[in-house]
Amino acid sequence: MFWWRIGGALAVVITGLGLMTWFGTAESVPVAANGNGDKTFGISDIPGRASSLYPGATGSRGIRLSNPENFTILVQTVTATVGKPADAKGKPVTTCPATSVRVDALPAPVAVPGNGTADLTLVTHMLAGAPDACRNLTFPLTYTGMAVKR
Amino acid sequence: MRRISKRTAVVLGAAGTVLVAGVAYAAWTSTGSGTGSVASTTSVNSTIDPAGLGDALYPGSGTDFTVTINNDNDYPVVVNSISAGSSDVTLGGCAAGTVTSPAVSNPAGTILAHGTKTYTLHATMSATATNACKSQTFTLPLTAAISSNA
Repeated sequence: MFWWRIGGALAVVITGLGLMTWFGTAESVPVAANGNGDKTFGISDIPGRASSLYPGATGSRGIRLSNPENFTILVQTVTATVGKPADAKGKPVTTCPATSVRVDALPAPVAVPGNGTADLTLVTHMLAGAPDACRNLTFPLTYTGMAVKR
Repeated sequence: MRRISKRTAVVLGAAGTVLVAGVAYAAWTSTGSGTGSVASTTSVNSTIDPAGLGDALYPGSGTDFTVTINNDNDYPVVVNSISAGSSDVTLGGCAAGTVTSPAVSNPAGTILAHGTKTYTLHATMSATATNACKSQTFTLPLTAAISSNA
């Protein structure tokens, strides 16, 4: 009897606080349509918003964050992994290592409005010792990130 | 029947809050993903042009002369070396190789992006130059090794 009473009291407390948290941050949105925050937000290039790299260069890569949720998210991390470069015909150029290029991570969290986008710039680098084989190539990037509900 | 003391209730309440907070945070974390690319630029070859002819030569004499090297790239470059020069046959029939200039390694200075820089070389006329070499203009083909210096 004693433990049943404790269990019942605890259940009430948790349920009450849980509802307050849920609705407290999305007051006008029905729970059923609110999602559980696990939709993947998009990270994509902004066409034309990138510097061409050369040995020792520091450049930029414009990207767009797309939020499929109907509430604001705070993107806390975005990282870019550089893949094997390819020439204009798409042929991999193995003599130019992917490590010739690196992209800095998102420097500070960015808020993205519900069903909206946010544009930002990542800093790019090419190593000073990049070989001649790295000229006029495309380095593929794979973006990953993490966000929380704001 | 046992009853929950006030102290027990407070402790349980606090524990419940911690539990709820943890669950709520985890539910709102989401991930992002996407792909993109960055590109490297190509390189543009430089040209070497005569700038200053120096003093008129006679058999066994030498003179400094200058050349300019341009840089049509979007990045600064450094000259690693300038080859040795040897004159072509002149219009007046002066033999090839009558005037020579030694190779130069690592001349000082950087050529800015889309800039030009002047370099001083030294030319010597052979002591055995013939009369056909009088009042002639000598052309010395030169090549330079250049690398990015960003």
